[in-house]
Amino acid sequence: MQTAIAFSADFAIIFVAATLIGYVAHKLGQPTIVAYILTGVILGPVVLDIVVEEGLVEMMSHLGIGFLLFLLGIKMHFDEVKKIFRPIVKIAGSQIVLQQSLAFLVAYMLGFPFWQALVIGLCTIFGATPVIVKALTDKGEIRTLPGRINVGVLIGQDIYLVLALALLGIGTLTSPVEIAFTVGKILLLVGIITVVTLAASRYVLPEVFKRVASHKEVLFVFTIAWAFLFIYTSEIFDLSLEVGAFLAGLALAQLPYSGELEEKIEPLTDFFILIFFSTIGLRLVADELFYYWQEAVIASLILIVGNFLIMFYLIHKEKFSVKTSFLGSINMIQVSEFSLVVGALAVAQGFIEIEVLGYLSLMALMTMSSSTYVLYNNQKIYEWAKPWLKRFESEDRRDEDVTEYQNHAVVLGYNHLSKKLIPVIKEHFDDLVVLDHDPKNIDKLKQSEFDLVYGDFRYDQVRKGLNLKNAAFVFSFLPDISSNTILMEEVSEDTTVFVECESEEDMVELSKLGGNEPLFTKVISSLQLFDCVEGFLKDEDNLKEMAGEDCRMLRGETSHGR
Amino acid sequence: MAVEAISDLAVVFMIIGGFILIANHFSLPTIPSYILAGVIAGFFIDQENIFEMARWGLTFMIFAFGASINFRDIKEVLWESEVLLGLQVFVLGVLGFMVGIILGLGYTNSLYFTVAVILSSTIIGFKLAGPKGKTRLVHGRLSEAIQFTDDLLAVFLILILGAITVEGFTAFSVFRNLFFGLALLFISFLIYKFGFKYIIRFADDSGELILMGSISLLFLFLGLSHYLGLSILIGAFAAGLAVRIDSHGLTEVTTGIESIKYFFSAIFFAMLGGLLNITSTYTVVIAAILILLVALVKPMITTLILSWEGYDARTSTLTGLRFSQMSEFTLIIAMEGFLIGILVPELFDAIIMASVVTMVYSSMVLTKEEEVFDVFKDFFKRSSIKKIEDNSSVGSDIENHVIILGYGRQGTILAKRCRSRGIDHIVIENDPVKLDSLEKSGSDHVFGDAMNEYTWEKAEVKRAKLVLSTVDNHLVSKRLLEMELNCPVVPKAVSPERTLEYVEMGAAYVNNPNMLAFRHMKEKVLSELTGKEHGPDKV
Repeated sequence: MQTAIAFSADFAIIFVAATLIGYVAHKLGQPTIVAYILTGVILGPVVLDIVVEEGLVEMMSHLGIGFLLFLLGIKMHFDEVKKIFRPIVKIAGSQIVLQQSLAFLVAYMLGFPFWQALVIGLCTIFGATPVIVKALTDKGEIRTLPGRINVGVLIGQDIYLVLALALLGIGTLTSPVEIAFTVGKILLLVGIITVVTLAASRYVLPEVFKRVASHKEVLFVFTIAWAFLFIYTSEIFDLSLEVGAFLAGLALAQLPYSGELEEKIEPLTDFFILIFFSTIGLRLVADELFYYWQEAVIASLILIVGNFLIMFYLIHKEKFSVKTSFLGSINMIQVSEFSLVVGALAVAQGFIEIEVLGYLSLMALMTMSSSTYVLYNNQKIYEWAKPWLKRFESEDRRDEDVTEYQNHAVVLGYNHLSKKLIPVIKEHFDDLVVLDHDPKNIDKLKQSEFDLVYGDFRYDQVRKGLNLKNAAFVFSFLPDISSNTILMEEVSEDTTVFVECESEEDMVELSKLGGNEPLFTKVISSLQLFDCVEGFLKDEDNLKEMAGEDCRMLRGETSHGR
Repeated sequence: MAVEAISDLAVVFMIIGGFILIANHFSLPTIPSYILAGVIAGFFIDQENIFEMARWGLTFMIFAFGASINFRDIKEVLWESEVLLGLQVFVLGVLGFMVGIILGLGYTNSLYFTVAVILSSTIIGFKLAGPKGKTRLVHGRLSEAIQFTDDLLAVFLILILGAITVEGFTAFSVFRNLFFGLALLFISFLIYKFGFKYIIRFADDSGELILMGSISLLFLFLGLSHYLGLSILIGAFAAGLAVRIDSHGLTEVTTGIESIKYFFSAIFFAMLGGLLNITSTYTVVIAAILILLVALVKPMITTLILSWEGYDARTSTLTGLRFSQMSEFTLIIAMEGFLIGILVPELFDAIIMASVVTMVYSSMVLTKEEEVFDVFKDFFKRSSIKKIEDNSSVGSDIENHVIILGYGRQGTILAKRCRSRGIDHIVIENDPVKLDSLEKSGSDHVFGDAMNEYTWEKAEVKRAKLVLSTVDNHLVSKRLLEMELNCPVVPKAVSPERTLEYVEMGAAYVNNPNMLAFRHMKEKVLSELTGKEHGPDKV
């Protein structure tokens, strides 16, 4: 009998269970995050108690949160954040102060002794990064203005979290000097790392990544190595690995391959984050969980409303539109899982009892689950609330608008053939967008004749940017039939579409989809070549003439515009 | 505890990052980089921490490999290569086993030694699912086909070797393994055919859920294979086969599996490096002999077999060279054997060492493959001439003909047109697979390698009117232009730079499909956009 070393079944059990529950949840229209948390609750001490969070499971859980933040960093585009940097800092700072105060007040009113209430206030962090980021990403809203505000505030909270953990780690809250010292040290470190990151991003990374970009595996593994470099550095300096991972991602956000990296890191993150959410459920133990359940329910309700109002006020004050303020606030009505992290440390240090951690956990669980529904339906809720919000509207709101292509031409694939056709097409359209996936063409991004977008057509995000529905003309040089099928599905009836194909089977498939007759380059070129041969056999000078013409054109290509 | 583990993992990856940067600069493969990184990292970290992750990594690798195969592809590819592989495996297998015994490894370990000699293919670098648009020369296609069969052989070997336990193995356990293994594959086939679409359907359009579903399938198969007493590798492979990712819209799943595979395989190979422990000369001796067999003997034997099977000298040599490395599968099999306690540490270490050396060596040799062939060219001269004579058919007194080099799509169309217009022509082609259709077509032809002088002699190039190449290969094109023929030469090129280069070198015209197609496409586009007919540019 085979006796290979067996390895932890826990990991596998969690995974399979979470997937099954996820499927059910999805079918019922519920978000997967809740399903994952539920999995943890069911498998853990509260219900079945067959799985424990340790070893590999714990490791994967940490990796999950690390990768999530890494991914978050990659999605950040400086130019997008720059515009709203100032307001975000103000919002984040004020939010933390106001929110912690409210949490403290509520806890004190509910009967917790002063010091305990203070610590509870410290631990109650609103705005769960994984929940918000995941939900917004799934809905494609992460780059919208409310999304960016949320992310900005969340990042601010991450820094706050690091401070809180450091403070609690000291063991005593009595020496102001020590506190100041620790806070100072942390801010300094984060500052230094940020500066180094930005410098690397500007000067070193583009070069390095250009070299590895053409080899898929190398690009991916190197990116992971980069992330781990930061994670390791954070560990050395006692900063949370989340901040390190975020900065690592941020450094990569400006590279032209960031879209591709996003697409590749995302599945890996999904994989680990499933475990992470499950472990939240795993950590809960029944008695401790329900000890303060009444207080938890009341506190949750008050804090949800309270926090919504705080955020709305703060965002609105910064002159953002009512819609942005509303969405930005309603996305953040859940207690963060970091509360549990900070709470656990507080328990370990003896500041609070374990039942208080149960109180925090219950609040987290309730608010996270309910807020996920709110998040996924945020637009609908806004529409419903709109009439009530009219009073807050005013003229001087600073929201930006987005430009979209209309009646434009799209060329998919920047190769030798498309290069020649582009000038021909460009003459007939105001806007021409070219999509390409070859890292070697990155340099050609900077020219004015047309917009060159770098990305893989098969991904939703990339296609959204092309606005195929409103395109007047599309010429596809994409080699695979699945991409072209997607293309034909996304263009409108009025769009003129040409597709190049490379085989008979493809030709048959593509013809069925409509559009003009597919252009089978190999056959076309062969037939043209034969015409050349016939011409040559009639008159030997014919070839020379054609050669001359062709060379003139090619010389034009190779000398300017590269 | 988890914090330490993550730090250790971070150290491993950081070192990997450094190594692959260097390796990429020199165009070296990734696996040796991972192993070497692991060797270095081994000094700094506690291996235990990443051990379990590495084990999972193994299963994901095999799973991803299984997922990249379609049952359809297996049928197509097996057809050409099974005989060739069979011969190669047989000869090397016998040789390997004997050498193993001579080295004093004992029966079981000699078996592992043999496996190390036989297997050559790469899972990680090789992708079966993907567009096959580019023109490739015969040896490229051939080696891919043989290596794929090689992979399947490896899976089969894993099944058999899984029957070996510390006590030795019996015919019963081998049979049992095979039986359950096939049963598992059958279940996976059923899921592939009938079940997987439900996984897709119930997920609605959530790529995330389909990915998680596929991975859950993996875990279930692992559980099943463990229960049946089979190696988990078979479970992983079967699970991979069951996953259908060939329908559109599932890019997320393919990328997902790929990303997870890259991540975990790096860890796995690094761990192998970490386990490396060279303490005895015996290890070095075994490694040296293994390297000799794989890097030198195997390519030579492969070349001879191919030549004997009718492939021209160059194709045979270049294909043979592609077998001068050891396969990741060997490392995986060795790992399993070592963990069970069957594989002696010296052999285990030797295999790791030899893998690194042969993988690096092989990729370096391949960049200089033409030079290598030049060295051995003359050895094949006489048999080459005979082969050309035996398989060609040229009309006597042919002159003022057009020579068409290559019988691919372009060549076929050109030859057909020439036939229908009564233009005298000769087709030159060196792929035995095309010989049949070439003979049936009725066109005069020469079966030979374009780089071989005699091929052109046979094609009566001195009396030709025009030489037209449909082969996109710089060496071939250069050769054509350097032959200083009396007639015009039209080489093939795809890039503008090459096209201009060939004109400089004396080409009368260049078969640049993009230029040729452009004229036609320009008209089509313009007539659509302007609604008028533009006069086509006349030749």
